[in-house]
Amino acid sequence: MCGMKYTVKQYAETLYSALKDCSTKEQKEIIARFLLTVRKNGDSPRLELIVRAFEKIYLKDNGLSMVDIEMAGAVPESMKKEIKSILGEGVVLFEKETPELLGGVRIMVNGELLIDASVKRQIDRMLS
Amino acid sequence: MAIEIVEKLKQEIEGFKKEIKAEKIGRVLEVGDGIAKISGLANVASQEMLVFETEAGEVSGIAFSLEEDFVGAIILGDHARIKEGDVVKPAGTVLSIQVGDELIGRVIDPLGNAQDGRGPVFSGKSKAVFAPVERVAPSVTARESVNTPLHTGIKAIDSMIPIGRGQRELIIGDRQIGKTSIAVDTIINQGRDKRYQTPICIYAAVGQKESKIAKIVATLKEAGAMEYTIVVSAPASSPASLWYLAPYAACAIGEYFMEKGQDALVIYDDLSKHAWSYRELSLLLRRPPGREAYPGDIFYLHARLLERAAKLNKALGGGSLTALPIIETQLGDVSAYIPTNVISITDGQIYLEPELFYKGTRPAVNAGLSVSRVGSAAQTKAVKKVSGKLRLELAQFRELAAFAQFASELDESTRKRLTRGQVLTELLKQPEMTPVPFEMQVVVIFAGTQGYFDDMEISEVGKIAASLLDYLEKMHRENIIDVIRESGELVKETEEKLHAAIREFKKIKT
Repeated sequence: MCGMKYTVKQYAETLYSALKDCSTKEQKEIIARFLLTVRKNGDSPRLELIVRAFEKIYLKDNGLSMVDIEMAGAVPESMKKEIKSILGEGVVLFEKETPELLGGVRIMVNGELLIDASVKRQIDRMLS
Repeated sequence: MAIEIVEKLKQEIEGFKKEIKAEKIGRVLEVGDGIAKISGLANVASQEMLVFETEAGEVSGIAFSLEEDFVGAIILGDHARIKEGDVVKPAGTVLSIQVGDELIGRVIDPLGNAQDGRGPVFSGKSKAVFAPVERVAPSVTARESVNTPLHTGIKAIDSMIPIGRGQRELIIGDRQIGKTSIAVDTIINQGRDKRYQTPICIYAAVGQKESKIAKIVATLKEAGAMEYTIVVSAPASSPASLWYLAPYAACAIGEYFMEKGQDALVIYDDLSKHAWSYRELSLLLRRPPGREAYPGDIFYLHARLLERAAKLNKALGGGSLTALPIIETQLGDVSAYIPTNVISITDGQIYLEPELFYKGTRPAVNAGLSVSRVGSAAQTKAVKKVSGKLRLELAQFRELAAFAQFASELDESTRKRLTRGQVLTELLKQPEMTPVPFEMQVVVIFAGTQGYFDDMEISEVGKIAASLLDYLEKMHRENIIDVIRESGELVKETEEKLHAAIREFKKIKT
C-alpha cells in the first residue's frame, strides 16, 4: 500500500513552512504529527528522501551552503577558514577523514557540485 | 623489452596533465534490472553519456528520462556493480562508436568491444574516428533516387521484388520461415555479384541465441563473406540496453562507409526483439504504456533508424546505405502493431508465408503480397526484360490453380497456363545458401517464360534447369553469360544465341 498522494517535495515544503514560525516546544509536536501523517499515507519508505529534500529547502531558504570536505588526514583549520572566506559566512561545514584519497582534497557542495582534487582521482585517470 | 615499457610509462606520466574541475554530480537512488534512478545531475542533457563510479571501476550509462525529481538512466554494462548512493558524473558527450576499416571481418558488441576473441579492433595507430550512434537522417536535398540494383541472388526476389541500393525492404514472416536465410544469402551474393561494387555488409543480431550468431558467422566465413562483413552482436543474454543500441550502432557503422562514397548494406535481425527491449526499458522507467504495452514513441524508435538508410547524391559522394529490417509476425498477423508500423516506414516488403513453405516452395515468398516500391527503376535491364511478364503470369496461375482443383475438364489454354505457372514456380525454388548470380537468373527465367520447360515433368524441372545452367557455363560462357553480365542487357543478338543454345541443350539432354 503505497501513498504517492503527495510528492517528496510537497512533504518537505509543508514541514518546512510549518516549522518556520513557531517555538521550539511546538516544533517537537509538529514533527511528531508530521511523522504520523507520513506513516498514515504509507510513505514511510520515502522518509529519507523527504529529509534530504528538507535539508535542501532549509539551506536554500537561509542562504546557506552545505559543504562536505574529505581529506586523507584531518582537515586543517586554515583550509576551513579559506573555504568560509570564499563561500561567505553561510557555510555549514562537514569534515571526514578518508584515507583512500591518498592526498589532496575532495569537496562536495550541497550534495550536487563536486570538486575532486584528490590524488586518488588523478591516479585513476592516469591508469584508465 | 622491459625498458621500453618503463620508457612508455615515463612518457605517459610526464605528459599527464593534472585536471581539476567542478562538476554537477548525481547520486544513485535506485538501481536494478538494467536501469538506475539518479538524484541530482542538475545540468545533464537528454541522451548524454553518464559515468557511474563504483568500487569495481567505472560503468557507463545514458540519461534516458529527465524527470522532475530524478534522472532515469539505462546502464550499459554490469548493473550488479552499482550500489545505491554511488556517484554519477555526466560525461559531456553522446554515445559514439569508433568506426574505421579495421571493423571489417570482426564481430563486435554495440559499444565497439570485440566479441570474436581476436583482440581489440583498433590498434591506436591511426587517428580514432567516432560516429554518434544517434544521428539525424540525410535531408531531402542530400539524396538522390535509387538507381543501382542490390542483387540478393534469390531468383524470386531479384525478378519480381527487386531491391535497389539505398532502399529499405522489410523481410516479414513467422518464425522459422527463412527470413535470416534470405539475409545471409544476400550477404553471400554480394561477393559473387561482379558487375557492381561489393557493398560492406553489416549484420546486426538483436537478441538472438549466441549459437545462432556463431553459426551465421561460421557460414559467412566459409563462403568468404567475412571479408566484407561486420557483425554487431547483442545476444539474448546481454542486457536490454545493448539490444536497444545494436541497430543504431550498426547504422552508424553503415553511415561511415556511405559517407566515404561506398555502398553499404545493413540487416537488422530482428526489429521485433528491438521493440521488446525498448518496451522493457520504458516500462522499467515508468513511462506510460500504450497499445500492447509499448511506449508512445515506438514508431519513432524504428522510423529514425530506418530513415538513415539513403542513397546520397553525387555531391556527397554517391554512397548508399541499404537496410533490410526483419520482423517476426505471430501466426502470420501482419496487421499487428509493430509489423504495421514498420511496413509503413519501409519501401516495400518481402512477405514469407508458412503455407508456401510447407508446400515446398522455398524461399516461401508470396509474390502477390510482396512489393518493392522502388521496383524496376533499380533493376538491371536484362532482368527487367525477362521478368516483366513473370509476376503477372504467376498471379494468373494462382487464380487458376484454385479453380482447377474443382473443374474436371479444362480447355487447352487454361491447361497451358497452369503448366506454365507450375514450371515457373518450380524454377523460382532455390535451396539455402546457393545465391544465383543475376546473369544466370536471366537465363533461367528466359528459358522458363519462353516455354522451353513446358513439355517436361514438373518434378524434373529443377534438375534440368540446373544442368542447363551448367551446360551454358561450360559451352557458352564467353558469348552469352559474360556478355549479359558485362553489359547488363539482353540484346537481340544474345537473345538469339540463347534460343539456339537452349534448343541445342534440349536435343542433347532429351
